[in-house]
Amino acid sequence: MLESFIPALYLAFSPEVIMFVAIGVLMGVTLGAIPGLSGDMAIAILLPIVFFLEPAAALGLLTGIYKGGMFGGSISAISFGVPGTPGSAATAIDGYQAKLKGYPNKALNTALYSSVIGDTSSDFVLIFLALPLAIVALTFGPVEFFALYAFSLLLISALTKGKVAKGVAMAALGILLAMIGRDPIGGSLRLTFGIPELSGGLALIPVLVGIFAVSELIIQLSKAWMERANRIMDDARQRAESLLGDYDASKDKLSFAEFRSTMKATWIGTTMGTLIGALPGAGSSLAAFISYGLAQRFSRNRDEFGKGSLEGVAAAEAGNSATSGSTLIPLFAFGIPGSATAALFGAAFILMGMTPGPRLIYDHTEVIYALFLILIYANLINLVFSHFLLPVYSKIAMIQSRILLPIVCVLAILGTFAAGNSVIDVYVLLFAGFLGVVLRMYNFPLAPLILGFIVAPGAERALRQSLLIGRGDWMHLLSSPIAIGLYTVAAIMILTFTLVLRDKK
Amino acid sequence: MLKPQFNKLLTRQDFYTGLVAMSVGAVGLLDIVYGNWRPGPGLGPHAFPQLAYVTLICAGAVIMIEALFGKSDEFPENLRAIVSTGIGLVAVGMGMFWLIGKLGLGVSVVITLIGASFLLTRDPLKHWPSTIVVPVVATAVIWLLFVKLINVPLPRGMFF
Amino acid sequence: MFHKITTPQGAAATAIAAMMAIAPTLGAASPLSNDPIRLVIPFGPGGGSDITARVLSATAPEFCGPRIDVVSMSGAAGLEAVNFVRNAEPNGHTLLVTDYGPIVTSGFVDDVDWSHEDWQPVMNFTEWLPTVYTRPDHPIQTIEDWVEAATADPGSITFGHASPLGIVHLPLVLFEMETGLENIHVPTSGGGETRSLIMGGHIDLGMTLPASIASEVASGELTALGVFAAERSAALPDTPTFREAGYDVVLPAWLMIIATDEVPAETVEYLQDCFMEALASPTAVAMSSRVNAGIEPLNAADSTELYMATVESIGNILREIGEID
Repeated sequence: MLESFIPALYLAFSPEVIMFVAIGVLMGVTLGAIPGLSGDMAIAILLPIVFFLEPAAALGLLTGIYKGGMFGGSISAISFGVPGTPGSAATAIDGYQAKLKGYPNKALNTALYSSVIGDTSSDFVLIFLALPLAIVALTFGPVEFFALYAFSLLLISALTKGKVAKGVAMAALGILLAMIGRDPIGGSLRLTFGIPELSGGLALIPVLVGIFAVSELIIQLSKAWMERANRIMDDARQRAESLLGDYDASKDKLSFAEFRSTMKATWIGTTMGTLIGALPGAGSSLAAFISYGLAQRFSRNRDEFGKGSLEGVAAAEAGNSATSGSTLIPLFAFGIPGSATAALFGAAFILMGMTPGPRLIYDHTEVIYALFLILIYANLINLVFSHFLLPVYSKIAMIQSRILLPIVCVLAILGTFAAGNSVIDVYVLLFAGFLGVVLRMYNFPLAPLILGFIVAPGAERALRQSLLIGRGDWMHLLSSPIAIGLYTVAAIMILTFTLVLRDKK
Repeated sequence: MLKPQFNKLLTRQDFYTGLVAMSVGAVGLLDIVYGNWRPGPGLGPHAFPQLAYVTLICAGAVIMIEALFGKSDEFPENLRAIVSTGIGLVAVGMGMFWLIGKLGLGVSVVITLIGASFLLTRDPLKHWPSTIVVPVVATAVIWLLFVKLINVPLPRGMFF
Repeated sequence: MFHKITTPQGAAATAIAAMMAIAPTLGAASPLSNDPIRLVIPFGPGGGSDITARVLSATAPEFCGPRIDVVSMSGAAGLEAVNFVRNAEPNGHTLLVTDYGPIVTSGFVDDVDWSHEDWQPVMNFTEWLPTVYTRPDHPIQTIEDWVEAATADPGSITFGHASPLGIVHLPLVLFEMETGLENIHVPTSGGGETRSLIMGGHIDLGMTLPASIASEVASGELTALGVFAAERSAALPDTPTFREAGYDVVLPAWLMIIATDEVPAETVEYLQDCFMEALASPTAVAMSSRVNAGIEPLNAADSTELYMATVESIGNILREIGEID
């Protein structure tokens, strides 16, 4: 093994490969920051590059894009409340509140550090623990998945403190939106209202960007418009001819004490993200939401969550990024692509003539070792680049809304279109935005809706598959120790937290 | 005794949001009972929507009961302005997309952006760097990104 | 083999040339303009059809003229891709690359405003042979084991497959129609989920395409029971066909390039010629074997015959199981 490590070292650190990783990170961060566009999309477009580059260089470029995109999504999530990628939706909850309070740079730095910590740990898990974790992941069948989905739904809809009923109603609405289209088990159409374009269901990106982002943009736009119409813009801002209004960058620095206070949340996110990322099909947005929910549960400053808590940003972003290494585990261990990203990496391997699966590392030891090294140092490159870019991004975030908002809107529309090459997606985006506005106006929390939407298809499939496999016997749902464990933890958590909350009142 | 409670209830916003949630659930359940749903293997396609509708009705009921005991969110501020902005944005967004098919991406985006910044800025001509130059530069970047780099399969227009 | 470039400048230049290739000036013979050709696939990126289409997009520009883009449109269960090609200008620059699911099956069961006659195949890449497989420590290891177990205890074997009525489900339906056996059908979200359910011991059998399991079958990590085809698969030479076992169930899934019938005949012929020429080039042959695509191109006439035959056989199955009248 070791004799191939030295050539792998040369391969991974050749100037050419380093250059491609760097280009990839830059592209990923930039594209990820545009709502709708994600690293996945850029990878899909650039896939043919593997025909023209050495394997290590091509994998370096794709890895760079992936990692950059993972973090880039949080930039627009924090700056505009517009999650740039599905994984960063949970980051938007607290990150955007932090920006509104005038410290985007703190939030962005928190996101960057937690993202890099989560990502790097997850890469180490991939390298050293791939096989044991993959075997655990395989024990997750429909029964276990249903328990996991039920657990996450309970965790999140009870999360909206003081508004539990509204949170539950939103989760139900999210589930309903996810039911539109073809029934995954029987294949019949449902809730399409006779519109054939809806037969494929609503895609995640337009719903997510619409509900979270477009609705926020609409509210901001109407404020900007009212400012203009009512001449209520304050004099200070009117006098400040600068693009930035009254933003003072020097007060917006993340201190070490603040960084340390987010560490617990970061590690919760890292653990959950790594575990959930290794499960085929669960996905980074679910990991981010579960991490966020758990971090809130275990935080000393629980009340700060939802109001710009840096812990909230750290948990969500670490949870999101920590899926990036472990999502490749099923691919490396068994050749099973566990996520869209893993499927694209799988395609890249196939196009280079390497078959994903357990043989991969023996047949192509040098390249895979080089990839492992790239996975690790790409994080470092991401850290360095983003460190210098963040001040620029936080200034962009503070540009006066009358100039910035229209541009962000246009980007959201075009980005959403480009993500699925679908006109329907654009209409879904706009209508979801309108729905989001109405719900916000009536104080409905939006996170449970998105979680319901993300979880419902998997939960339904898992439940119905379990019942098919168990010949219709509901007890089959309790046939697995993992499932029983998850239900027990959920029950204990709900009991203790309702009691704790009651004590506080 | 109940009557003043009840009168006050009718002024509380969450009485109505609860009512809306419940009626959506009720209509949905009626649709499942009387609508055209095909049976399917493993509970059938209606099981999950049914669960969601029932949840919605229960949640709506709780919201209404909470409103009865005085727990209600405030009426939204600026509702009309924000909702009309929402309708406006939906219309502008769809209009821009239609325009892309006619005029091409560059022209449509620049028209949209300049139009929007003129609407949002007082004395737009005096602030021409931010209302005209920024949109043109932004459009150029967007055009390069989407048309040249990503090559999105947008409907082709007459110009760019 | 195709060229490999080691200097970064050369690599970047080639990459850029590939991404934004400036179309070479063509003789008057070409009915195509310099705009790129779009191969629209009705699935997400990264799957078998994407990979196969990319072999063509990497090799054909030299022969056809314009650059070739693979565009993935999975919206509305693939119908959006079909409609996009249908509504595009009929100049041969927008083509559909699909298996029979989104066009033949959808044409029957979905509410669409086109019929099967509104399309003309340009060429066929390959025929995928649906394969039944399981894990090596499962009691069922052959077609005979399966039939025996299913006869002894009907409705006891769980069978995983991707979306209902798709290319890895209909063969099972057909097999049950022929034999009268009953299995529990467990739809999954795709090949990856089917495989993890089988390897994790949650279900008994599953169906997939040979390329995705060939190396695991060779190394003994999975067992392939049988192939629903007339001949054995080149990727799985040791796996018998169902016909060999005495069950005449043959339902291969082709992957075709399809144009609307409004595209002029000479354009289709030009495309067919240059695509076939490109796929016969040494670069394409090497690439195809490297990615295990098993490309064996068929020309437009043969593809059309295959297409019409599939329309008829799928129609029969769907009528039989009561999906259509």
